Amino acid sequence: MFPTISWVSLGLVLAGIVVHCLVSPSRRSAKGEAAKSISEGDRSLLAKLKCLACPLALGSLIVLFLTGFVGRLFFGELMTGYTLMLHVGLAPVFVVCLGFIVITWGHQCLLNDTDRQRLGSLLRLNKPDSGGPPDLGWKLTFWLAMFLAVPASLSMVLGMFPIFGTHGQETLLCLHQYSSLALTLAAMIHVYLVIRRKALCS
Amino acid sequence: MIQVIRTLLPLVLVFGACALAQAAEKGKGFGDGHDGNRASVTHLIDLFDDKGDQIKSSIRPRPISMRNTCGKCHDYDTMAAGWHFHSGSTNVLSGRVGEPWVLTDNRIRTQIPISNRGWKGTYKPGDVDMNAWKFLKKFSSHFPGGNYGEMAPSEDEEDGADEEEVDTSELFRWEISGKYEINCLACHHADRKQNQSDAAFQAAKENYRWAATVASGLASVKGTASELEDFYDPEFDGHKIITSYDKSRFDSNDKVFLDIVGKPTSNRCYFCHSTQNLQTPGEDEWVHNEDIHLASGMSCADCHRNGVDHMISRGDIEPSKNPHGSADYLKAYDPKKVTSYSCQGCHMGDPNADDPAARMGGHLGAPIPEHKGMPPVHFEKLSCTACHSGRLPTGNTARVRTARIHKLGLHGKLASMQPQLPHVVTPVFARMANGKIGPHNMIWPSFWGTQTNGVVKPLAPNLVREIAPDELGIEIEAPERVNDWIELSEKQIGNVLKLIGDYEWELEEGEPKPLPVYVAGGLLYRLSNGVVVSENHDAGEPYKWPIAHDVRPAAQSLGSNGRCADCHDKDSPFIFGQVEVDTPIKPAEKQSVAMTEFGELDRGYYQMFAFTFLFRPWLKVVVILSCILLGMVLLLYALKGLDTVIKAAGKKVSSKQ
Repeated sequence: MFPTISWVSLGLVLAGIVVHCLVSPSRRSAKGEAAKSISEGDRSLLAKLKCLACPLALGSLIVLFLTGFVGRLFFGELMTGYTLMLHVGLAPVFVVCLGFIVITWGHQCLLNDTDRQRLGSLLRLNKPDSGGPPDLGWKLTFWLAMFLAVPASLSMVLGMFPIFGTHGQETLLCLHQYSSLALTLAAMIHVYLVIRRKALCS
Repeated sequence: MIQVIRTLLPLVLVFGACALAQAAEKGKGFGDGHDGNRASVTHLIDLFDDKGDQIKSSIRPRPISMRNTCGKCHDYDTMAAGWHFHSGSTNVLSGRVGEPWVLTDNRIRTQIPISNRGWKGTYKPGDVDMNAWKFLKKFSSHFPGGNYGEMAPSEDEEDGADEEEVDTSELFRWEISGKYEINCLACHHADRKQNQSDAAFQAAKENYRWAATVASGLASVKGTASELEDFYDPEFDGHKIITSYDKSRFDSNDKVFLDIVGKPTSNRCYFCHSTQNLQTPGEDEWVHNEDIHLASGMSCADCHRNGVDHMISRGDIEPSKNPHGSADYLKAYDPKKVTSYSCQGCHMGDPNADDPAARMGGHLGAPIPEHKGMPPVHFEKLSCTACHSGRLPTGNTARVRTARIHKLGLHGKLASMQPQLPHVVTPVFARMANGKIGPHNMIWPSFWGTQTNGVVKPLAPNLVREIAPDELGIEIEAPERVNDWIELSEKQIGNVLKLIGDYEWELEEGEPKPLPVYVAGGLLYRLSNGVVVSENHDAGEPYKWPIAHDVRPAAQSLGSNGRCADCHDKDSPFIFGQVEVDTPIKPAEKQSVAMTEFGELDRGYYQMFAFTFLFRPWLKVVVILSCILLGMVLLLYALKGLDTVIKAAGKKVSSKQ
């Protein structure tokens, strides 16, 4: 069941990204606007760490995804051996990075009035005002990814305590799998939208 | 007309005889099965001897024949096909690997696992020149009867067989000793007078026909079959083995009450299936605990159940090997029934069972384990017994003695037999046939043999004694022992191998001369240009069999209450323990093999994996703190968002007003 859902959802998201990339208009906004909004031109240690945390989180997420999903999707096997060790070893790096990112980037990912209006329009199934760079998508996926990281992490850590029995462990594993899949999908969309926005604003 | 009658009469008589025989056959086994009444059946019965005559206390009695006494109501031949009794048959079922018989001869430094079931690492009795008679002579102390005990050569075989194949003196001995029939009472007689040690004593005297009678406590026997002449005939020589029944046991109709139970008590099973923990033997035996199931009031037969066929369930989950495609075997081993009485079936339920109750588990009040903190992957890789059964592992394997191998439980004159060899090492965590790792008992085979076309076969101990009596010091009265072994030097090995090599083998035309070899401690020794060389060889592989008892309490199981370090510590004996290598060559030196060899585990990987457990507490702290941080930030922004929504809603309401 899980491999099927994974294949379908990954396929749909990738296809959606490709279609969006082809279909969506690529009007460029004022140069530097987006860059300014996403990354301040600060060169302090915090800013450097802030810049380091994102690729580190992304890199560890990719490795976590590969170690966690490849064996399962291609060979129907659960992680064992060195793969498992690498997966478990990188997990805290990823979670710590996320903690750092949510603190340092959280404020910039707050929805502003424009975003709220867009969100309101989308919820009312109206076509949103197309003026300005599309920020709503990457902000929402950011918060979604941050939210999903909590069950994805806790589901595994709690399994290491003598709290849950076999059934509980299986439920935790299930929760870990599905929340990780959702986290990966959210991160994929987020990264795509951020890259696209940067490209549009450069 | 008369002609017609003359023709038909014999036919009618033949048909009549057949019908009567068939009717008699139908009656056979009417005591088997169950009519639904749970009250036990009172066995106030007639006893019969091996000639089929009723035993009466007043007339010079003969010993009880189980075939003729129990067989009056129960189907003896069907029972004889059960696990305990069929190993000598030609179509023997192999089943899961189990404890073998071990042919030991300390003087010639030999210990050979013997089984007719074709288990890898065992040798068939015939391989060591052991026929039914010799088998009984060697192993009858803990023998349930039947099987080899009833394999006396028939007269036809006697006439038709090659003189060399049938030892005529053994034929006479069979006549004197009688058959060792299945001793039904050994298991089903609940009377505390039942004493299997007495059966062993009678068997040691070759009084096979009398063994069951004496063990039951119904009679005593005077006389020793093994001391009688080959041509002894009670009709001419007078009875020299006298059976004296306890007359008080016979009622006025010469019936005898036997306290027979369908479900044997554990005490009966223990005689052959005890294991002595040598950690604190002898006087400190009292410190040992029983299997937790028995301590809780259960009996062996609660789980090890059987039908009339006596194919006792062995705790297997998967159907055992069925090399002959026997339909009877599969019928007896219906996994849907058997699995329900395995560890998993009782404690967790068998999801494939037809009976909904069996699907739920909890047989006989078995607690359903939660296995808190235990990732489910463990259940794919480990048997239940890995964590729950046998001795708790320590850095080095320990030793145990088993009832059958070490002849435990013998009293009286036989009590002086307290063999320490073969050393049974335990627990060895090895991979089982189903791919899971489980605890095993293990012995290292050790024997003189021959190698032909790469195949190693042991030599019969008697032949080795005949070939090299002096070199092996057979005549020395009290040889020095080191670690229970009489030490064997490489020089001695070389000399004995030369003597075996010089032996005049009777070979068929074109058959190569066998090369003499010695197997011990996992190595095969042979002569190369007159020099002894050793090498690894399959024949030297230790023989191991999975164990399931004693089951320890849950609190004493490996990994109990989330103690990962029980197995995932860098010094964990479960993975990194050392398995003793037992050999008469340099027995004073401590020799061992890594446990990982038997579990087929990558030692480097598990060392690294154990190393990661040092950081596991940190991992837990870091991840939990990060999650708390993430959660708080998310909550903060969620509240902010809510604040914005409330403010916006408020503004909208005030602007409308």
